[in-house]
Formats: sequence, C-alpha cells, structure tokens
Amino acid sequence: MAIKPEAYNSTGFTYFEFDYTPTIANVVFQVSKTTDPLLSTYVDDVEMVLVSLLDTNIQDSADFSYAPNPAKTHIKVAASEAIVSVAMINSLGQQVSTTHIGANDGTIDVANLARGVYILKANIANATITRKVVIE
Amino acid sequence: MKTKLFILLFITITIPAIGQWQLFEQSDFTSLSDVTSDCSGGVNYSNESCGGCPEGRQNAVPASNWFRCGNKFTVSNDGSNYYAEFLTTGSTPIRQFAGGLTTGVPYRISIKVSRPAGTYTTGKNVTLTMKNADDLNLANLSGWSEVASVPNVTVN
Repeated sequence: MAIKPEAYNSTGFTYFEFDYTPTIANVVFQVSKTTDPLLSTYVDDVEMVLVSLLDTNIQDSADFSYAPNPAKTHIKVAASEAIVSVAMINSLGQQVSTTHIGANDGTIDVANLARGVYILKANIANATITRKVVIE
Repeated sequence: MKTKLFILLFITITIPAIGQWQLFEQSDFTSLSDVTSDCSGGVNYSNESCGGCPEGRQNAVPASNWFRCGNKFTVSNDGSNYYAEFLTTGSTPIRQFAGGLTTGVPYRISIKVSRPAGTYTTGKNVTLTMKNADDLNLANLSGWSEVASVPNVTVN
C-alpha cells in the first residue's frame, strides 16, 4: 500500500490515492469516518482502477506530461515526440472525444465533458500512453 | 484486405482491454437514492443492536452501488457538486461490493476528503477497509482489514 496524500487540493477537497493488491477476488469495501465524532466529514469520487490500465505507457512516462488534473475546460499535453491524437474514454469504456494534435504539444478541450473520471489515451509515434484524469 | 484484418484484430484486442474500467459505481454520489440502505437492522456479529456501527452485520450484499447500515449518512449538495456526508456521532459507514478482482495485481484507489471549513484532523479521518464478500454475514467474524486510512485533512 502506498499512500500519496494531498496530490492536489481542489474546491476544499483533498485528493488521496493509494495502491491495493487484492488477495481475494470478491470483496466488500467499506468507507468509514474514524475521528472527531462531533464534526462531519465529506467524501467524494471514490475510484478504483487497475494500475496496469493507468500506466501502460510503452515509453518512459517522463516523456509525456499533462495538466491540469483535475481539469474544467482544457488539458495541455506535451511529449518528447509528436502526439498524433488524444482520446478521452469515460468510465463505461466509451471513447467520448478525440483531438488530433500533430505536434509535440497541444490542448484538449474538455469543457463539454460531464464531470467524472476519464482515461486520457494519447497516441504518440509508436507508443500509447493512458492516464486517469478528473473532469470537474 | 490486410488493413481490414488489422483493424478487426485491433478492435478485438482493444475493446475488452478497456471495457468498464471504473470498478466503483456511483463514485461521485449523485443522490441519496443511489445509496441503498440494506442492513439487518444494524446488528453486529454478536447479534447486538448497533445501528450504523462500522462492524454492522450484513444479510445481503447488493451486487452494485454503495449501501449503508444506519442513517448517519447522507448525500449533500453544495450547489454544483454532490458528495457523501458522514454525519456526526454514530456516523454510518458505506460499503460496496467489488467482484471479479484479479488477485495479485495492483489497483489504484483514490478518494477525495473534506471537512467543515476551519477544522482539521491530526489522526485517521477516513478509513477504507475490506472483507471477503463471502464472510460478510457470517456470525462470529468481526473486524475488517484496513486497506488505507486518510490522515491530516485541513480545510481553511
């Protein structure tokens, strides 16, 4: 288990992520509040994704960058080689947009995407890079 | 012809690989009706009443979606965003079944946590635990295995 606290802070929520390797195929997860019973705690966007799906970059991940994450209107992408196109895939596996870049950097318009978690899939030369992004 | 075969092969390989990749349903808590209340009256493994207790015994495991044991939980809205709210004393935990996981392979779990403005915590604030789905309703089996806990949430 590796916790990466406060990867970013957005709209009062703090984002945490960690890796979990199951030893059982069918499990029940529980989210509970553990401290300060006199105060409420708010939770949002509890996500669980296969790490291999997030990190299937054929090349070194340092060759590809994207920001911001989470995003509201646009995402800037950059790579050491020409980015052919960038697709956005929703949680149902549906490809909801494709942006042709044709350069080492570019911008993806995400203003019309519903809020939620998406897979950003970038086609770069002979490589395919996938990353999880949050649209707010 | 070769091109068509290549495209067909690509689609055949790619689509199942992507599929439905998000393993939690209703992860953004769009309304309280999405969170099923489905417990046996808030009974723990010793058959003692404990409405909303984290050790609450479960008779049935819904195949999908969040479910809760107790009423100290709600889904709130700040005007533009829905979120889960764990209420004060006796806070009700929420649960979700995840089936067909690949054992021995890492998954990445992410969660966003917030607090009332001006408050902070110095210890565990939110804990994610798990239990074998087959054991959820077995008597004399208490305790959940901790997957992760979220510390030190500060909201100014």
